Amino acid sequence: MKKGLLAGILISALGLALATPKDTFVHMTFGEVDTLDPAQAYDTASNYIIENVYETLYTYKKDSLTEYEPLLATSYEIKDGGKTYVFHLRKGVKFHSGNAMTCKDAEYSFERVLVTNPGDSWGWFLAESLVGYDVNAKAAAEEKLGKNPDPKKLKAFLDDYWKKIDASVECDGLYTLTFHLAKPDPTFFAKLLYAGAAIVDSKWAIAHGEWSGTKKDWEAWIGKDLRQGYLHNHMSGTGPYKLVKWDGKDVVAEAFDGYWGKKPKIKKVLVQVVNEEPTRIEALKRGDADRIAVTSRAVLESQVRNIPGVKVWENKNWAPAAAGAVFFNQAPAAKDNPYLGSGKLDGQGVPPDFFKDEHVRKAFAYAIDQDAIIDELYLGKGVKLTMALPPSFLGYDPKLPIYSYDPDKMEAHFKKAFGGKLWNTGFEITILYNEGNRVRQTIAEMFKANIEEINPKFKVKVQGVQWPDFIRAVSKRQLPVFILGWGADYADPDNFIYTFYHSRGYYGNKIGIKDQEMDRLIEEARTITDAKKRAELYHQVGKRAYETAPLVPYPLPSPFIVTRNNVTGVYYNPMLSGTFLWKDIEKK
Amino acid sequence: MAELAAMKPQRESFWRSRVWKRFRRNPLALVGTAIVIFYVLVAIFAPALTADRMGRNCLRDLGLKRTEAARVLRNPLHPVFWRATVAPPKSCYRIPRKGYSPVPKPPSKKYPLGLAGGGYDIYYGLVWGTRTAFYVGILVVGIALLIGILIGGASGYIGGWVDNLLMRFTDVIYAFPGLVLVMVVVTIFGRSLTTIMLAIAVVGWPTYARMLRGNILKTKAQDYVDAARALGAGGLRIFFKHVLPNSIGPLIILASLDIGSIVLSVAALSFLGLGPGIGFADWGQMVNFARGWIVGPPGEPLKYWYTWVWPSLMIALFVLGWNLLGDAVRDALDPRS
Amino acid sequence: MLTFTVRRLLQLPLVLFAVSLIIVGMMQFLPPSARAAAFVKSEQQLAHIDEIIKQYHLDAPFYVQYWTWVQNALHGNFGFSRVAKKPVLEAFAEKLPVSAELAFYAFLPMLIVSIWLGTLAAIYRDKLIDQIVRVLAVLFWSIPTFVLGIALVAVVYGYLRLFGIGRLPSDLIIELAQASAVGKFHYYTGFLTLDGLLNGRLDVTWAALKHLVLPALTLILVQGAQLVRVMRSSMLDELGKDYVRTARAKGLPDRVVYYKHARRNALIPIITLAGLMFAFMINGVVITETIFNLPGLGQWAALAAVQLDQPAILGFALLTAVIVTTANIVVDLLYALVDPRIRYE
Repeated sequence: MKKGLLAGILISALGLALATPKDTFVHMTFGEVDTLDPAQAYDTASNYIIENVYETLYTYKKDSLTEYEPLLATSYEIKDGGKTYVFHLRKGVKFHSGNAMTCKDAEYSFERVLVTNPGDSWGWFLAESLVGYDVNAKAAAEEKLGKNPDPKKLKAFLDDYWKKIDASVECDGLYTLTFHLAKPDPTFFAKLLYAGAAIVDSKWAIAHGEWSGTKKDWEAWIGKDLRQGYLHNHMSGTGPYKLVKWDGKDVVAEAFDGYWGKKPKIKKVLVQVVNEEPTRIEALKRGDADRIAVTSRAVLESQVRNIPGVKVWENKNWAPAAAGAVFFNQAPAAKDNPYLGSGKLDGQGVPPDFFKDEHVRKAFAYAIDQDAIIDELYLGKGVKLTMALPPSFLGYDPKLPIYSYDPDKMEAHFKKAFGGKLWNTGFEITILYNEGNRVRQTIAEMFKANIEEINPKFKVKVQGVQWPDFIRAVSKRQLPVFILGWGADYADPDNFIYTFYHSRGYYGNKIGIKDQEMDRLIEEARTITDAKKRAELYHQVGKRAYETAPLVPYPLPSPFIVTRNNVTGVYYNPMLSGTFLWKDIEKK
Repeated sequence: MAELAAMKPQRESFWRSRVWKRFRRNPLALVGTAIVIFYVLVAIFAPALTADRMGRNCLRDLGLKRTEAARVLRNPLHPVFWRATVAPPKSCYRIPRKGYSPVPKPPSKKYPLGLAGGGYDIYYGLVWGTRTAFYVGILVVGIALLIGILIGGASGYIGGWVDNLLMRFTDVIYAFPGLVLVMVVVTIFGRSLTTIMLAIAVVGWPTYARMLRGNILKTKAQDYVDAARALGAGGLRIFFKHVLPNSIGPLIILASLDIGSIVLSVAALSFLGLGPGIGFADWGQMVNFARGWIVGPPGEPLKYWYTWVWPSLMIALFVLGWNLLGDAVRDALDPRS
Repeated sequence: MLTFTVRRLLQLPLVLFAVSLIIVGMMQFLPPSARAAAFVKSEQQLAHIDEIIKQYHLDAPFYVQYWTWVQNALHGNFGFSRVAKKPVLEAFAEKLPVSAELAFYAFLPMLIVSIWLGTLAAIYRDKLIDQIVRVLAVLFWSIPTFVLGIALVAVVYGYLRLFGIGRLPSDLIIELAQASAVGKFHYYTGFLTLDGLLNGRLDVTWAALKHLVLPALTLILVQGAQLVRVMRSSMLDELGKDYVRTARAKGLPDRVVYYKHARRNALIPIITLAGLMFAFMINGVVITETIFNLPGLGQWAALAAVQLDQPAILGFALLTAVIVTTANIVVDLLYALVDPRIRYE
């Protein structure tokens, strides 16, 4: 008896803790939550919490990106050729505060997104479908009317904007929600699955000082930084978990007793931000963490894989809902551009129209050694992309060819570039990557090695810059060639294709793509609803992208999840910020 | 007359002076000197030591072919040898990579110290990192000393409102959170080695200024200064001939100790992601390569020991050497031991 | 003495003004798109950078930005820290106790051990103990802190399974979060070891102490090494003075001479260094906090500096200025009290 007591004291004194209890889930990760307000959050760490605490109308069926199941809505219809969506809401659902959910809450939640729509939030893709503008009312007014508009004109514009918001979301009784779109949008349903498109407790929000839901005080909320509001760190949703505390770093959540659905097995959740990876790994070893974030395949294979008590979940069919590419800028800024060197075809720089020559683009495309990237960086477990679209999305064509390292073809294209002049004059170009991103740095250095080997007159400078400098250079269009990626906002191919390939898409615009045929294909695909026809159009986009090579996608690492081996029910849904929901797992 | 000439006191030769004798007898002093000399040699002969493993760009900028590199760079009669030793191109400070695998590779015949995560040749990085260490250490301390002496000297010598103003200015700089200021400066003005050096120097000079001013005040109050003034010596002459030389000693010793510690500051900056770019030959960068590899897989926790042991040892010995040297110089100059 | 103190205190606002001006001034060297770095975390947000610049007035001229900030500051509003996700003052109030608690538990043991070892090394100068102490001191000081830290995490926490990382074990974190949400636990001071006692939760105090062992040990080893050397040097200076020789010649036992007289005088320069070290530790020690996962001022300041979170940088710099200036004044006063030769006009 005494020995046991002594041992107990000793054990406790030395901090020898048991692994975390069966009903508790501890996840150690490295990204910090930005905000818990669903209308403001636009990052993975924040949405990870939001998707477990708030709920949307429909959701993905476990790990499928094409099958959906009803969540807060039980059924829906599309009318008017795709301009009207009618959702029937679930009855008997309670918020964490105890209030009952009705259509009023849904209308409030969506209108709130449209009213506030801060510049750094996700509201733009909801607003562009419902209101016809992707920016909030004040920003739209400035675009249309200039910086100092006539007050009467401004008032008229704002009133009109409000009318659009009001008309776009309407309730018919307590359980029927209707969306009136600005124009038919086949991607709208996918957009509604975004974590932020959730239903918030309107009575509770209004009682705590949020927007009243009416026209009376809406102007004060236009474009407001919601991080100063109540919903920034307080949550009242319908989800299986409710927020206990967020201290700016760690999140503590507990199961909600009044949840309308199946009660989850995990009752308590702690999401802890531990920025130092060795520390996370040690905690996993000791059982102080049930799941940890592991940043690279290299660390996974060499340090984590064989830890006793640890399970690595992976599957060769898993692919991230993201795409990364090397971009060839066909129209970099010509003046005050430090990255063009001499700006002329004299071997000491590159002219602004360097990448307008298709031969140059193709030569560079053949310089990317996709296999080496997968073998060396991802230790053989990577996914090659045929186009800038995640493989699990509609419209992805796996049969398209992929540019691979081919020094002969590189030489051939370089020799044809600029009518043969480039081979003799040579060039000097700078490739930028954002400091800290080893993958992009390695790709840049591979470029350098492969291109410089072809011709001693070809000089490639690889430069790592801090994030502020990087975004400045990108937004000013100074970079002749750069490496960037994109994560899916919603599970529709348009989110990628338009962004990367359309002349007005974010990236397409930045690299000066002016391909009318490409634009036509993309615009047609975003207006029709027939999935098969859309897929066919996207196949053609991919084919044309290969032929013109405005950018070349680089391979992405195969995803994996690391947990203790007593965790079951884990699955991988790339559209979920946490890849799976807490309510679906349990610990044996 | 002849007697007077004969009676003129002889300047004691340094090599026979008591200072040198005390220094020589201190075993740790000799160890310190030996260590510093070792590093100096490594730095000077960096090109020769790494001739057989240079990166493509370095060779290209030197105008050498890979096959002739070893022969040329070890031949002091060849002009390129001098070019590489005295003013090597910037590209030679980029550590060559063998492959891109993020997993470190253990020491082998070709890579005697192993490859760090990312395929970086550890041996090359440490050898050329010695140059960086001296470069940074001497320049930073030099600049900080210069500013410190100017401001501390003016403050101590002139006194009055000038002293007050300069000391308040020193207070402001002193009050700045040093690391944060350096980080902000580097983030804003770029991550080049020059910016980092200037930032650290700007944050570090107040220590020297204050120390010099304090020593000057103490010395000014000494008797022999009054005596010199009584004999008719002018103010400036007194300052440069008597006050300054007697106040500057502790400063020089502190500076020599700091040369070692600057390396640690740059290493801390690398940890925070603000060092000279990844792949630059700098000891701090090299230790950072090891950041995720200090613990290996279960069962072989020290599997990647070479990634952090060699750079850490290099840094530690460097700091140790300067410290022993500095301590020994101070002990030798101390007339009371 | 009083006028001296008052004068130095009056210079504090000037110092604060200069510090803030310099920082805001430096930020002006960046164009608005770069200043948006703190607001743009992902490529998606990068796509909307123009709206972001407009929303946060990042393109307003220098004096407008500075004046706005000053006005707000005078009303107690130091702005919102993007890095901490909360107002700057709130972030301070939360993170200061974390760093201060670590500093407190590391400082005293460090002081005691360093003074003891330094004195020992000086008294037995050039003997074996001196050589060992000096080499060990330099070695511990020159090991990059994070190597030492990670080694401790791996060996002591990982392999030997002792102590813990972060401030508390996860079960206590969850329990306290739930308890404080319903008012059953109050964070009176932010010092967990103290709050545990004040709330009658000895287990919290005990756990917090256990989690402080490793980070405190790292600090003690690295910072203490520096203090040992200074102590030794200062003690040597004292031992060489005439009064020591006289006292020994007069027959006073060595122990009394060394420990009672010489050491006390040798402590004078230590006061300066120790005072500054303590201030430095309170400011937060970035590397230690990162490795042991302590949400203190150091981590926050480092992230703010890299992401150019202007309100946070300003707030942190000003607080540091206050702490350092105060520490300087206190040290100078102590100096004058202890050394009768020093007088201030």
